[in-house]
Amino acid sequence: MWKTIIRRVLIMIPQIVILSVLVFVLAKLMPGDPFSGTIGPNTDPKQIEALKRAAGLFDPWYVQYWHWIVNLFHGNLGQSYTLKQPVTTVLGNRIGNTVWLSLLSLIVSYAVAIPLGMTSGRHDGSRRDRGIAIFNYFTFGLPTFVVFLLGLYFFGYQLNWFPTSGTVSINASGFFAEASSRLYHMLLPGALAGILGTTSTIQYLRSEIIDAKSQDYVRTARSKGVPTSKVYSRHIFRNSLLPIAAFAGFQITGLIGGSVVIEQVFSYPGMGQLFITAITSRDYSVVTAIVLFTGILALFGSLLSDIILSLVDPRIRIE
Amino acid sequence: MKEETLLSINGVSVAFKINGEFYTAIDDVSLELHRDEVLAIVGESGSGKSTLATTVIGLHNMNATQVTGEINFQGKEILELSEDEFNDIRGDEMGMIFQDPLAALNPLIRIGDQIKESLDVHSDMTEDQKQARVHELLDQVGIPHPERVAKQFPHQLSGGMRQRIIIAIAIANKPQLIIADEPTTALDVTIQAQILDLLKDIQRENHAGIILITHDLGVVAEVADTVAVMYAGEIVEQAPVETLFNNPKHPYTRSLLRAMPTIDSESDELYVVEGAVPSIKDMDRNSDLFAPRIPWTKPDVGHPVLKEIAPNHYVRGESWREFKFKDEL
Repeated sequence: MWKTIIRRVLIMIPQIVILSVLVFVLAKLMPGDPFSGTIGPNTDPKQIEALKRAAGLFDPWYVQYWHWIVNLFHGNLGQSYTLKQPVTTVLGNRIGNTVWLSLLSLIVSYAVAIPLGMTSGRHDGSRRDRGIAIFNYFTFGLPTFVVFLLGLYFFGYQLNWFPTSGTVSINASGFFAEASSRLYHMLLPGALAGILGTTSTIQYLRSEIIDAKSQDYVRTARSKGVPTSKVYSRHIFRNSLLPIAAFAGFQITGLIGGSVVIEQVFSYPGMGQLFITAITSRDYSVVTAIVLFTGILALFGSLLSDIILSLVDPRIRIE
Repeated sequence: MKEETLLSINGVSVAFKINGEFYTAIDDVSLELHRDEVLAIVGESGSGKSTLATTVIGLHNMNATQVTGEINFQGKEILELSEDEFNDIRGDEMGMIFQDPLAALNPLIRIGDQIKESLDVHSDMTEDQKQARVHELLDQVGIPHPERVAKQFPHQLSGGMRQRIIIAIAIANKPQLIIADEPTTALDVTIQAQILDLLKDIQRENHAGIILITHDLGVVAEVADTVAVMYAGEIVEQAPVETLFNNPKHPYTRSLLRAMPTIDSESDELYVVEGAVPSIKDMDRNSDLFAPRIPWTKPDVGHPVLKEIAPNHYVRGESWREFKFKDEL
């Protein structure tokens, strides 16, 4: 067990190195530079060049990369060109917001998808199954921003059930008040994103269950006289959840990537929103930091998937 | 061998629903099984042997299956039982051994727990007693180091060991009826012999009846008492094992026996029964179903019936009386 995990963690080191090089090179390949937008047309070109030189933009890419990495290890992600603040400060305020929102939508997503997928798979072809299929067409087919906008308009503005922007209300003081206010602000975007994210889980689970139902080991279990409900809980669901578990790690990164749209619509100050702003203003240091962060998160996601899998599936453990 | 009747199958027919229509897979089969008897059911793939076994242990998907007739097991009409009542019998009074030991065990559950599941459902033993029984069963099916193997997962065992585990599961509650569906097909010959001996031992111990489903006539000759030959979902010949091997009547039985390779055969070529069992969608139940595969023989008119031609020797139809192999004409 531990052997599997340690081996898996070691594999991540070269992955992270390659990721960092890729992220850096891609950022450098972007057209434009942080000064072209902020400097007036009357500025002396010599002065611009001096600024660029001071920022190290004329050094060879590997020298720039090396500086970046050394700083990275010192916890210094550089200065945001447009916000004039350290990148760590800019990100630090927002990472938490996004991670909590993603976590909430992930929980909602599984809480909705797993029971629906199980029902659908167990009673395939039934009226319930068809109902769930229709639900799936909707969640898959509707453009996310349309759902978010409608949700915001309906539940936020018309019914006034949920706040329409921000992460916390200004007059919330004290830990409990603040926490509940934050949760309240996340609830609508989290629930909507969660429900829209159920499609693949439901479909996977459904087809896994239908597949598992006709497996020989299920027939063996039934031949022992095990009651149907127990055959499902002990043999079918457990085995069908394997690919879902394998998928869980990747789901996390998908959600953080997906937060770009939802944060924009709900004016929720998270990383997604920051990412858009940073790209449009060529704020290299912020862009690279976010891409690197999501990349590392993806690697951790797949690590998590592998660990979950090796916990539940004895076949892939290294003894 | 006139002992207590354990199982009697009476005029059982099974039909499967395919695209909304029912097609007959088993047609009017009647069989009897006594204690201490091994009844072998032989036939090609598609002849309905496994379907019959699945019917006896009640594992068909009843949404798409229609079963008619009567099956009496130890005085109970099992086709009339509810799912719960049947679950009380399954795994307790009857056990089934499946053919593919790779697929028949749950890959995620420890061997010991998979065997224990049978005990969990049917016995009121304490955990310790169940544990002891699991080890005893593993020992009985010839697994070395039962304590260690009980904690292992299926993928850690060889095919032969897994087949033994399947047997241990089937016999956990000392069933009166053991249905073995091709228990040796996936195994090599030496292991086959060991498994067959094991089955015989278990049978002697519990005075159980065994239904052995196979297409391996060598296995039949070795262990069976009575043989039923099935073709296209019906029995074409049924006889005590010596009679069937020494004096086969039905063209299908004779073809099967002839297709069996023997050490002292003069020919280099194996005999082949041309063609294949028709798909259940194309079967004309009102005809001599085997006739298309022996076109040089005059077929029976209409649907031939099973007749007792000698004590305990049943043969279907009349065409067998004139049947000759092609090279004997």
